[in-house]
Amino acid sequence: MRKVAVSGYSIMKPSRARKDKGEEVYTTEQYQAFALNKLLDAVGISKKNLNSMKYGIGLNRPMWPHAMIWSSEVIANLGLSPSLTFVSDHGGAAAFFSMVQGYLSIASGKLDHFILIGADTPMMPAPMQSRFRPERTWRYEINYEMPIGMVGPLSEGAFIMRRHMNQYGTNEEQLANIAITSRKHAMLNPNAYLRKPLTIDEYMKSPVIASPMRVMDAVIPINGAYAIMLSSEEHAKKITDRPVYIKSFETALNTDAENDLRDITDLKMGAATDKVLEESGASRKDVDFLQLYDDFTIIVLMQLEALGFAKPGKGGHFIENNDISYNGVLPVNTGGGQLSGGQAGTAGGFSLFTEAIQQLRGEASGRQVKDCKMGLVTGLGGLGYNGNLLNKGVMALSNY
Amino acid sequence: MQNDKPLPEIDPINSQFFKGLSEDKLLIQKCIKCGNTQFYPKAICVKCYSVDLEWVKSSGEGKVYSFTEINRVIMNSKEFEKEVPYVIASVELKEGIRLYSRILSENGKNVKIGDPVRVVFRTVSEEIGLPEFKLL
Ligand SMILES: [Zn+2]
Repeated sequence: MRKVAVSGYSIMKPSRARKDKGEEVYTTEQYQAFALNKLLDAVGISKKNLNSMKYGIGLNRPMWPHAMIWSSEVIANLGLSPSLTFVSDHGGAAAFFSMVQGYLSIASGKLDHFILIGADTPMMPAPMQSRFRPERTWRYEINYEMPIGMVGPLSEGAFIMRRHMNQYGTNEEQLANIAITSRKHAMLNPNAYLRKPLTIDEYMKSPVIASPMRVMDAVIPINGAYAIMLSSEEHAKKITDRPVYIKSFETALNTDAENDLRDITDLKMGAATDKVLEESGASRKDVDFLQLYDDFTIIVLMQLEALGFAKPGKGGHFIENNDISYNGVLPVNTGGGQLSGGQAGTAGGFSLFTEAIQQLRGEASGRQVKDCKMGLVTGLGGLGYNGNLLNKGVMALSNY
Repeated sequence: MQNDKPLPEIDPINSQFFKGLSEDKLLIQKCIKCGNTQFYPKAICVKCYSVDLEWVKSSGEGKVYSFTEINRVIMNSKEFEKEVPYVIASVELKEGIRLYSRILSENGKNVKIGDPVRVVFRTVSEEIGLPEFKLL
């Protein structure tokens, strides 16, 4: 197996399509084109050169325009002739599983490069796919959640949050701490959307949509796009002097599959994390930062437990006693995550990877984690029925 | 009738579940081979992979595993706005499954995790009923 590295990346400015505020109003298809263009500029590869390489294109399945976007349609739109394409349908974990697929294609020696384009425009109007929601959603939501008045992921997340609070005494102040720290980081990140300070008072006053879930416990949807280029080590070194290596990763899907009475507060990612660290020749002490998939504040807290940085049920306690700022003992979501950076639909997880890449390349300016060498990035997607997350992954990235 | 609310999409896997509810029966899937009970209805037993599943009548009794009070309706029919705030719970039935359901409003506000609940039935059409639970 060949070593695989990130050879380049691009980030598009986030937008909520507010023309009155001077924000960009682009469709997913425009974002895909612009993010690719920006990436090629960054790595100094012309489109003509690209089409002479052995490469693949990986995409998330966007929510906009509430219709299938076929990978071959996208490459036709972009005028590309790759050797392989795929679309990841892993929801929030689309970025993670795209990294995995790209890695495998290159590590096996079959391809030299993989370009992952994450783009989505949930703030862009498009024809409705169903009477009550923009998109025809999961079957279990259509049949067992919507008829009783559930309100999508927020209500599913609320079950998890309530249960964790009840089971372990996790409180609002602890969860607010995650939201506020994310905002502090976003204020230092020009690619984040929410960049005004967040106070505990504002958090406590933010509306409770599905109790105990507040607006400030959830992501803010944005239109946005990211592109990441993966290359074999040999090729990456020709493109950049700052390659970021995929050291190791583990995925876990539909854990606890046979247990209808599973504990929804347990993400069950400990064994995966142990394996990733072992394969990276590292221990938890060597981890310079965590970029944790953050659809909700409670999911960040639960990952601190699940990844073994806090004891089970003690995530809240951990946050009270440990600084998770970029300059703290265990920096978490140093770019503001999706909570404050914004979630570009099913491409939202890409922002966690671009943040890790920027940190490891030393390009995180005002929020740079000092001397960082390696960090973990997670991907989570698909809340599932009576579960927590169906698609899970932990990846170690390093600059050595 | 709930014309302006979404209805489940009836198919060969779930038709008996929703039909049963319209006849005041809470039917759950049980594996004939290994005895596993599961929810929501699926094409096979997720434990032993047998396709020999039967529908058994649930006691309709259980307890609240978790719950949420919906204050704002998003990603669903605006018709639900007339009912906010309303409580939805993940109910753990004695038969060893969990299902999501409305908690009836008269005392739903006082719901706590662990509270005992019993099913009541809301008939929507000849083919479809929905389970609701009330606090005991
Ligand atoms: Zn069975």
